[in-house]
Amino acid sequence: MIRFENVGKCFTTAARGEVWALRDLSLTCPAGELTCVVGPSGCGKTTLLRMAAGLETPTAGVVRVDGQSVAGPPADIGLVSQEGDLLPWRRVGRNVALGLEIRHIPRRVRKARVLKTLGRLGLPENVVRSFPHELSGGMRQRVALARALCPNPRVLLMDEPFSSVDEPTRNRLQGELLALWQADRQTVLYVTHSIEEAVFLADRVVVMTFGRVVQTIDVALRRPRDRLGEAFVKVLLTVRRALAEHATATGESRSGQ
Amino acid sequence: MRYGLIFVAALLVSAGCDKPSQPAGGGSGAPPVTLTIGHVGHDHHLALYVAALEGRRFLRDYGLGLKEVKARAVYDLIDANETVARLRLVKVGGGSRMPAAMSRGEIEIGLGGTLPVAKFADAGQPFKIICPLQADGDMLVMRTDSPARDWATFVAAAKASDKPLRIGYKAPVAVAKLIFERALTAEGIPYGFDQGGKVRIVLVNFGSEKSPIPLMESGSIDGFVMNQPAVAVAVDKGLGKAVCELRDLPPAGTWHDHPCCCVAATTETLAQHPRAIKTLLKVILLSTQLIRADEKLAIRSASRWTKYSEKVEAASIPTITYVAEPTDAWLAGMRTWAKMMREIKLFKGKYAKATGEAFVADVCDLRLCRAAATELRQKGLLK
Amino acid sequence: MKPVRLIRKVALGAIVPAVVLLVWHVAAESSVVVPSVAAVGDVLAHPFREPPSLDATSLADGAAASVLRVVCGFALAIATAVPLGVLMGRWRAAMDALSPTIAAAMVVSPIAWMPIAIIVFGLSSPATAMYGDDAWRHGALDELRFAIVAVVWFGAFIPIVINTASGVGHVRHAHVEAARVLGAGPGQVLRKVVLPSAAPAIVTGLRLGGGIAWRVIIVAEIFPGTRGGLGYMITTAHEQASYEYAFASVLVIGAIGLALDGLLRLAEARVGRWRPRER
Repeated sequence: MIRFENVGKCFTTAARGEVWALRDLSLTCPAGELTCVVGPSGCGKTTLLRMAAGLETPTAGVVRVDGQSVAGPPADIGLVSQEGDLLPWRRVGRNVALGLEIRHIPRRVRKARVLKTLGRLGLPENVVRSFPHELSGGMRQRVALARALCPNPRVLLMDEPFSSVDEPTRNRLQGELLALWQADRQTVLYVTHSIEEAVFLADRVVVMTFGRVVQTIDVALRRPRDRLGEAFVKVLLTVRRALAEHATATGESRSGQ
Repeated sequence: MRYGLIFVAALLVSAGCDKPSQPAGGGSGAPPVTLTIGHVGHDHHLALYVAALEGRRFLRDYGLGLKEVKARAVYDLIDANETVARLRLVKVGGGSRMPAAMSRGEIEIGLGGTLPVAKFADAGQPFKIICPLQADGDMLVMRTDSPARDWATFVAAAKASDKPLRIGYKAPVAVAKLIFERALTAEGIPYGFDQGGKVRIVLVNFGSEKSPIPLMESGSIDGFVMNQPAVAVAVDKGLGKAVCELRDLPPAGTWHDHPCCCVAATTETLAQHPRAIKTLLKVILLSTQLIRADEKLAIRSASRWTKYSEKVEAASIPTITYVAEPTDAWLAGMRTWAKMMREIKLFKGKYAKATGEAFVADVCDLRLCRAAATELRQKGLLK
Repeated sequence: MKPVRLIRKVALGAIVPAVVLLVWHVAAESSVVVPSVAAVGDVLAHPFREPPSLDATSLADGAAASVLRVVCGFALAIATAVPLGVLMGRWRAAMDALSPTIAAAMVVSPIAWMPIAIIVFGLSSPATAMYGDDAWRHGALDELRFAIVAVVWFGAFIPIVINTASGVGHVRHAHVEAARVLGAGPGQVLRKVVLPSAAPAIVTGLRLGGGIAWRVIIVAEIFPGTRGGLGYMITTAHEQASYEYAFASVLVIGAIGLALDGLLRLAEARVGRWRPRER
């Protein structure tokens, strides 16, 4: 599980001086659950995710993954970013195998596991020879997800992974993600700016604005969820309302005011 | 990664291709000392090359000489079956290059021009001229269609021509150029280094080109003053004609037997290896004698070593006076140099105000040379 | 490539050389300095023959000496410039410390360093260092004069270090982070992300450095004390008015330079294989 304890993060920029991206934020992502963080751009949700990944250190407070405080990327986590960030000079096969390579797993074992993971994601076997730039956006994100999943992480961090693909593909990918997660049950922290996506995926939706958690909404609906169903829409509206309420208030973005 | 390994492998292979060459024939164990001799590679230093090429003959006829270990590069200096020293020959180039190499410690002994050596000694380098090599061997060459046939007609042509004549020279301190300049002054012909004023002769430094021949062909210069064998090559190629020898230039008689190349060494080398040097000087003396006696052999050897054609060498060698002993004429020539260098203020150091005698006494150390000559005469080997 | 296209490409490429050949032939007729095409052809046809009219080794030996010197200088440059470039690309402090000096050095022609190299190294070589007075026995090693190799090294070093630093500096953070999250330590990040990402820039630097190295060697060999090499051949041929050797040497220099560049271009293409073609 992931736990944020009174976490604060301050960036100093030349243009705007000190900027507090996160302010005294506490949040728990329970183990085995899919938690979505939703909020407008600049609310700090990406910073939150990066801190869980160990790519940013908190200015105040502590981040814990599975009880251990985070200082640098923790072991056994997977990250899927918005662009996928596949290594362009490596073919798909070697990209997906990257995590295993880093763990010094022998080549033959790597090969087998890569093929298995690709299979789970519905990718054809011959994709291993392709370079990332030869693939469509949707396929690239699938490969990115495969790369993250291949080493069997216990925690999965996802930063708007499907936001750069078209809607039908996005919906399909969401379904595939859910299928995979329901089989593995990692702790998932999923960041998005799409309320609909959050409600579709999450066990819990965390609403953020201006560096703070403003509301946490449990989504108790059974999966697969009907986007057009009444219950779904009701939760959607709840979330939307929470966002609207707090988005109108101007947040402090300068320290000392 | 793979390419890196290939690179390293290639380097190792090429280093392995370095085949150590074996010495020719057996020697008497490790030689006592190795001396590096710098030289220029053309026929002014023929004494060394004849000795190197005719090693067997020298050992047979004189009991001393050079034994080839690696052709053109390494020779053992033998005296009465004993290896006195191992000599390494390095082609360092002419002009100031030889004394420069000696000042950097790259060579211990050098064959080269007296004036560059003197200049370095003047500046404080511990160099001594230990033996003459030759005198003369410089000429004035003009285009084939020039009206000049000798010095008198050249002077007339210079005074009469509407455009200044362009005459090339090799280096600022080159013997040929210095003589030429003094001769022009003696004749009252104004000259300069660029076209300004009423100069009748413009001196052009082609040093960076290293050879006047392309300039002659393109017409950039009307003639040049230079040492052999460049003169012979230009004539051989049909680009010019030899107008006169610089030894004959005015002031009359001043330049006869003007010293050109010599053997020089550092004082340290002289102090540490007197026997080796004396033996080497004996070889030079004998070689010079051989050159004077057998011109055909001289031409053949010169061509073999320098790779200039025999035709060129046959035209060049007769104009060179090979002398390895400090004759009166040679010493007088050295004193003339001192006077000239003083007058044109090229000596700025310890020889700046020295008289001719003082200069010669300081820059020359001829004791080993004289001793060598005496010992050879006692054995009846030197006339 | 289709046969017709290939023929056309070769034919077009041959036009200028053919014209040059013609002009050369005509010029040689009326000149003493310009050697005839036949004479130069004869020299090229016998690369292992010791020149009868030139105080130098054979053309093949000269080429080998020059190539050996360049390879050594180039290899040294790679071995020193790439690590330094990586350092500069990764650490701001290293970049700030070194880039002013490198920028200043960049504008100085490597040849300008030759006199200083001669003062520092003289005639020394690996042979003199290892065997002292017996250095002459080890011809190939003695040809590797330190002064010359140093100047070649300097010429190749600058573009390689600059390009490497640039390539490394432009490594995408996102790629580095992706590897770190997967558990990569600093060494693994370097090997698996930084170097492959910077590889195209590095190889471009190699191509530039290689070209400079080859151009520099010829001029460096003109300096006194050197024996052997194509630059030495050209100078000596000039001095001794055996111009057919000068011309032949120039042609050989061009050919080797072309081959070297071609090889490096191949490497460049191979390393950049993963880049999408520009549309």
